[in-house]
Amino acid sequence: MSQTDEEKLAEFEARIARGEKIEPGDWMPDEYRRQLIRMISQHAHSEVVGMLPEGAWITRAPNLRRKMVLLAKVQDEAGHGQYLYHAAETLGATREQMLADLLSGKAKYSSVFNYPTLTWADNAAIGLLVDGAAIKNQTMLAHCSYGPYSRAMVRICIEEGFHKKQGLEMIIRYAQGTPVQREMMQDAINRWWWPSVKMIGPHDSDSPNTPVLKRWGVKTKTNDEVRQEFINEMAPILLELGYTLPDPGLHQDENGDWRHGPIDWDEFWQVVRGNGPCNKERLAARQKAHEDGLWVREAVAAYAEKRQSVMAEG
Amino acid sequence: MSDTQWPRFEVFQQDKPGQLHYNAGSVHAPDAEMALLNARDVFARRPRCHSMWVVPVSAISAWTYQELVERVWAADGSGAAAASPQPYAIFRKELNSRNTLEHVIYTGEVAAASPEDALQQARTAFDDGVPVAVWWVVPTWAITRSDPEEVGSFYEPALSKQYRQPNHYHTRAALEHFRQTVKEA
Repeated sequence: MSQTDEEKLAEFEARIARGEKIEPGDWMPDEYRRQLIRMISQHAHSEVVGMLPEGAWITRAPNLRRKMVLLAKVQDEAGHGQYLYHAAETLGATREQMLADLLSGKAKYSSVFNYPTLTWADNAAIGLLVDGAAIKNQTMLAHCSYGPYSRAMVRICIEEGFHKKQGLEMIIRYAQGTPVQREMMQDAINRWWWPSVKMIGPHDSDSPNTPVLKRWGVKTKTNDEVRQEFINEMAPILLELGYTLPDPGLHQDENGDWRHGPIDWDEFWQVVRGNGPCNKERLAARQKAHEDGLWVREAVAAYAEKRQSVMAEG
Repeated sequence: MSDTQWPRFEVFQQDKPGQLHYNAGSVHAPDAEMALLNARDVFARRPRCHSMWVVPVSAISAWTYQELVERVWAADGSGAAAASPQPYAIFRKELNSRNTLEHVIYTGEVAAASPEDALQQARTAFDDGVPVAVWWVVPTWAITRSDPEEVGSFYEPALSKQYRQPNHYHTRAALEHFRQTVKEA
């Protein structure tokens, strides 16, 4: 006897309500699978493209410690991309297709990586603000109903802890530095504040996927809720350190929440649609990395083939 | 086209001696040796790792709780019964597992004529009353294990890079220090 789709859906939703994780092989609605593949593959691409803005500074780090820290951070982002591609594969997406979509420009990734890193202080701003915003989102997604995505998020959150703290450490140092150093940090904050606030996603009223994603336990908070947590954490600490934030409307309300002024969503959508300052550069860098890596993939394949034939003979 | 991403290998990781291997995720590689290297780089950057196993996805038989509820078992696997038994490694994930980082965990071995036979045996042999969400059955010949002789060098990078840990950054103390200097000024 087989269940009808309505019965299956009811059981699926009951399982999520009980707090059980949905695992590969379990029945799931097509829309759940589709939304997860969309979210997870975009998330994976963001980790991979996210290596580029900071990666450009590895050779120009001010000292050996900062260089090792930045290398480890960028290496982590590569690893996070791998965790996430794995999670998407458990839903039936293929690595080949996801990579092809990234390299052709068809796939989306986080808008925040389409801005340039102009000075060393940008790495500090990215660590605290961009990784800080990502961690807020990822901490929420760690409670996701889909087992492989939730486990990838738990692993990523554990590892991202140092990414944010190394950024905050630099921001504190700059606050104690010379006027020129403080000015450099302030400039980086001015440029990274809004992209970080926006990367959390459109307002709930413009986020048509959110209700179904919440119902199925994929998201447990809305974009605006996550954004509020982010601003509540970041605004007081940056203001205390003597920096300003580029939002004249920013204020604390009677509940203690830090409220932001109007967000320029036109600018956000321009960047999402491919017209940000670095979209073309990022895509070209990924394509070049893929082409430049071809000889490595060929060498690895040749070695594996040779080894197999030696073993077959032996 | 030569530009493929290669087969997928599931990765099982043991953090410390004496603990059970658990499934951490997967990597792509042309063979098991390269899969093990990729697995080390992807899953054992920190905080520690003692052993890893990799298994090509094609060698894994998996069943979910739902599949087992709906399944009608054949009375007798006649073809399977003729085959000589071989060892299978059994992995499972508990239905109400509160473990947020680990998928299926190594449970033990059985000798069986087929993956289905191994599953049937495992459901009896490892029945401790806990409902199981996912079973994985893997013939032990398909498992490639990291070399116990090389634990020290193979996993050393996970331990040595302390700046990968959040507590390497004394931001709380630095903030406190900043507040003091502001107060004094």
